[in-house]
Order: sequence, then C-alpha cells, then structure tokens
Amino acid sequence: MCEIFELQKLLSSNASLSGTEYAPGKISDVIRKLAEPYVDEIFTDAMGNLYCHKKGEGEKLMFTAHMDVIGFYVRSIDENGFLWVDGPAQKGRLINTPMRMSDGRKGVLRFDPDGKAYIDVGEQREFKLGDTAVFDTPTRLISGGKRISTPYADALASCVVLLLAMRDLGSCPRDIYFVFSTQEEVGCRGAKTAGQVIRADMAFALDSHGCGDSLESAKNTEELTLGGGPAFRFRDGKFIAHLDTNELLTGICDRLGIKHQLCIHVGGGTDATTLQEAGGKVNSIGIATRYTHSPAEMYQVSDLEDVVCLVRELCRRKADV
Amino acid sequence: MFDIFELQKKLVELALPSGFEKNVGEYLASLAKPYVDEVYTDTLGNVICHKKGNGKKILFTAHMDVIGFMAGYIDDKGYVRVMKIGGHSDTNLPNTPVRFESGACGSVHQDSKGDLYIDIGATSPEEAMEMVQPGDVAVFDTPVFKMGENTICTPYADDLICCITLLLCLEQLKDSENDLYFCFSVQEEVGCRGASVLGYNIRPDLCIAVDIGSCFDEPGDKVRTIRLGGGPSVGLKDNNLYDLIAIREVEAAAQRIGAKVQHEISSGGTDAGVIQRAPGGVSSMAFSVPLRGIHTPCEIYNTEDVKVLAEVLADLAVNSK
Repeated sequence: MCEIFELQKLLSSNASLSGTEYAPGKISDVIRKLAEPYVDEIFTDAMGNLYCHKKGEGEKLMFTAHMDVIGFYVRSIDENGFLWVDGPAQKGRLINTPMRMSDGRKGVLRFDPDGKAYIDVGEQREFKLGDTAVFDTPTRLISGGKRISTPYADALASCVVLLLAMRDLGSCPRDIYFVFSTQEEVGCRGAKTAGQVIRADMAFALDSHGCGDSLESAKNTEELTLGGGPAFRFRDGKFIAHLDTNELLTGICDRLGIKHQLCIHVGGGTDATTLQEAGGKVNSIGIATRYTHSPAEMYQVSDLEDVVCLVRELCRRKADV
Repeated sequence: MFDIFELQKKLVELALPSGFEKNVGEYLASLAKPYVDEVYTDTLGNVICHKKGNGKKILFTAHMDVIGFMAGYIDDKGYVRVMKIGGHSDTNLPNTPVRFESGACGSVHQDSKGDLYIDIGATSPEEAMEMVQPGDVAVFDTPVFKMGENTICTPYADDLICCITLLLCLEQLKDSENDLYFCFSVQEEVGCRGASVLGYNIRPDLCIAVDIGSCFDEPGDKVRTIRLGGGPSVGLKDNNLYDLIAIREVEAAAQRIGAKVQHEISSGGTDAGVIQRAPGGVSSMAFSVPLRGIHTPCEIYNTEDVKVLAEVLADLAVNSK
C-alpha cells in the first residue's frame, strides 16, 4: 500500500474551497484527526488556519501547506436548475469536469456558448447561493506506482508532506509549528495571519510548483521536472527568499544526498509572500507538479518523499546548523 | 432484475473503442443468453441474440463500441501520441483522465501546436514503451455517478445505456410469434461497419436501432427538439431519412402502452441508416435515449426515458404484425 497515495486520495476527496476549510467536517477536521497523535497541541484562529504545535526549546520554526483548493461557487440558479458559477472559468482547460458540491452531491462543469460556466446537476435541486464545487476526478497511482495523477496536488500533496513529516520526530532543538493555512488561492490570506500569530524565526511555505516538462505550453518558463527532487524557488513575482535559507536548504540536500532543483518563477506566489511580512527568514519548498490548476495534476512520489526528508531534517538538525 | 446503474458501471469497466468489442460482447452475451434461443458472434464480432419465431423478422441493435484513442507512437519525451477513434472533438478533452487497455493510466493534453498526447507519467521513452505499445487503445476514466434518483452521469452512455435497454427489453419480453434478433453491434462509431454485416446476413423485415439522441435543453441551445426526461426519442431524420412504416410501428407500440415519446431531427447517423440500405432494403428507424453532453467524458441520461424505451420495444416485439 502506498500511504502517500492513500493520503492524497483522502484529502482530495475532502477538498474544500478557499474560505470553507474550517467548516465542520471539511478538510480542516480531516487533517486535524490525522495530525493529533503526533503533536503536542492543536489550535486554530479566526481565519481557520490549523496550527499543529510540537513543543520544544530554541528557535521557532514554522512550515505552512495550504489546505484550500481552487474551485467554483454558486452565483445564481436558473429556473431549469442549472447552477451558474464563479471561479477560474477556463473553458479550454476545464470543460466537462465532474464536480462535487459542498454537500457531497455531484454535477458536471459545462460552459455556455458565451463561455460562462455552469454546473449541470441533473434533477437535483435545493442548492443555495454560495454553495461551493470542487473537481471530482479520480486520484490514481500511475506509472507503476511512481507518480500520482490527481485533482489538488496543489496543495494537498504539501499537506501530505507535513502529515508525514510530523511523525515520531523525537525531541528537536526547536519549537515547531506545522500550519495548514487557509485562503492561499485567493491571495495567501491565511498565511498573512498565521505569520503574525507565530512570529517564527524561520518559516517555509510548501506548495506545488509548476513544471516545464510537459508539452502543454511553449511559454512555460519553469525549468522544473518531475523526479528532480524538492524545488526551490528563490524568487518569484512577489517574493524573494532570505539568502541564509537558500544555503540552508541546498546544504541539507547536499548533506543527505537529495537531488534538488532550482528555479526562478515569473508570476504567481506562495504563502511565502505573506509569511515574510511577519519578519522571519522565509523560503518556499516545492513539489514539482504538471498541469497545475487542472483536474489532472501530476507529481512524482519520490519528490514528495524527498521533501518529507528535508522537512524532518530542518526540524531535527543541531541548533547551530 | 437488471439494475441500470450497476450495469452502466460494469460496462464502462469493460468497454473499449471500435474494433475491440470482445470483452464487453462476451459479457453482454452471458446476460442475454437466458432469455433467447441462441447467441452467436459473426465474423466482425457482432453479438446476435436470437429468439426464434415464425412471424415477422425484427432486428434490434445497440452498439458495444465506444469512442476513445489508439496509441500511435511514443515520442522522445515518453509521451504517447494518439489518434482518436470515433468522431469526437479535441475541445472536449483537455485534462481528461484516461485508461489504456494494458492498465496504464494517464490524462489527455494538447501540446503547444495543438496536437493530442496522453501523459502516462513515464519517466523515459523506454519505460513508456513497456507500459503502452503502438495500437493499444484507451478510454475515458471518468466516474459514473447519480445526479438525483433518475439521472445518471457517465462516460459512454453512448451507446452502453442502449445495450442495457436491449437487456431490459429481453427481461420483460412475453412470448412472441415474431423472429427476434437482439444485436450488440461493433464499430458503429467509425461508420456503422458492424451494422452493414448484420443487415446483409439477417435481412430483417423491420430494424430498430437503439442509440442516443442529443438533448437541446441546455443553456444556450436555440433549437428546442428533445429534452432530458421527455421520453424516448423517435428519430425522423438525421443524415439518414428513416422509414415512415418503421416510425409508425414504434409510435403505435408507444400508444398501445400509453408511453409518451419525443420526436427529433438531427445530424449524424446510426446503425439503422446502414441497415436500411442492406441489399433488398430494410424498413428502419432509430429510437433513442435522450442524452446531454454526447461524446464528452460526462454524458447524462434519465433512467425513466430508458425504462419507457425498453417497454415500447417489448410491446413492439410481440405485437408488430
């Protein structure tokens, strides 16, 4: 049994849209149950961030992985029962995607001739404005178990990393917070609060980083490949990493013999953008991912395992390293 | 009692594109056998279920093949270059999960030139060659689910729900003088090729092809012909002109049992069109399950339409003189 695959499947089947993560029974509750045995305390804040605290003395260290995902919310319902939705309405990429509504009922994402998105829910009724919908494509272990094709590698795969990394760490010379953040997809808003709440000395934002090794776009500028190991994006359009942390990350990888890959990204952002505002030394750690923000994202299992090793070593390394 | 939802799921697991109907054919044959006198397969792979009689010779068809892909070659990055099987559109396909007959799973994408490829997550061309060979076929790997008590969303409603309809008809068939042929045909999606063999070999007095009819009840549809849940659809004309005698037979059967039917004119073709032109000529028509999203990975039908269609056929099979 591949535990990474089972965890990805569990989290993707409970995926929650930005702003709904902390509602009862949603992704935050699922993650909390999985994390509980491995940390000393768990608490939340008004943004819904889920803090999993492993107490210790010394430097305050923080990791974030966002638990919200992209999707759609219902703006209006017409007299034939079709749900008109708002969200990343890219007809070319998302047409005919099976969807799962917030109450578990299902539908299909379609587009009208003007390119406006709606969800066909058949004969089902009694939906409301503000109901949310996420991708309901299957999570599959492919390529002989080496890779995973799934909705929401971004960033539930990063949540899987933290859930595995926090286990049986033993005593570490630092005070560690594994934070499952909210509302990253709408502007890294959860992390902005979480950074202020914790005020860590050092913080790492885990996320999916888009690959350049699929054939989809000639304009894709990421140099990352599946299987290239943890991805360090030292700079993107909204964030520049603290130089000390660059050396720290590459140094650990070299020491442990973990192949890693570097890139500079032109657009986008991660929780690192807003974490930095709280004043600590911040960097991001990526899992190389193909077809990001599609219902069929793809990553390599060994890349995720390598990030787990990296996170655990960041926790356990000697105080002066 | 055949369960439509369970059978749809089972047939979706077995069905393969045109030319590769053997697995689903064997399964359908095993289900039909108890209700007929003989079951046999012809040279092209059509499965013929014959209930003998001395009266009118009536042929019912539903096709077992589905649209999909065939692997052409593995490119130098390890992606599978494919050709489509059947007349479906590239614009329906980006990010669709697919599954090869060999078991390899992946997703469909378009490269920067707009050509289709399937990403099976192979780490090298050599590894890809071990997972998929030229000539291997692939099908949609999207889920089968309900959208309300009587609405099912699935890949390959076309034409598996019509194969199910023939089974539902067989199950309720009363004794008849007529000589009845329930045929699961092959290669309809690439030109109704199985049907031409059926027409030639069987030379029925009356032919009814059970296929799917495109609904026009979705946002943006200007034509208002048939809708989901409006009853099975009598095809007046598509690229063929169906025979009025055959059409009246179906309407008479519907009237006898008090069933409401719709009427449609559309484009495309069915097995009935080809059988109509069999040597000597055959009185033929198409009787359809209304469907939304034809030839997409998420097709939608109403099970009441299906049940009514089966009941009309069961009456016609007995009472047609």
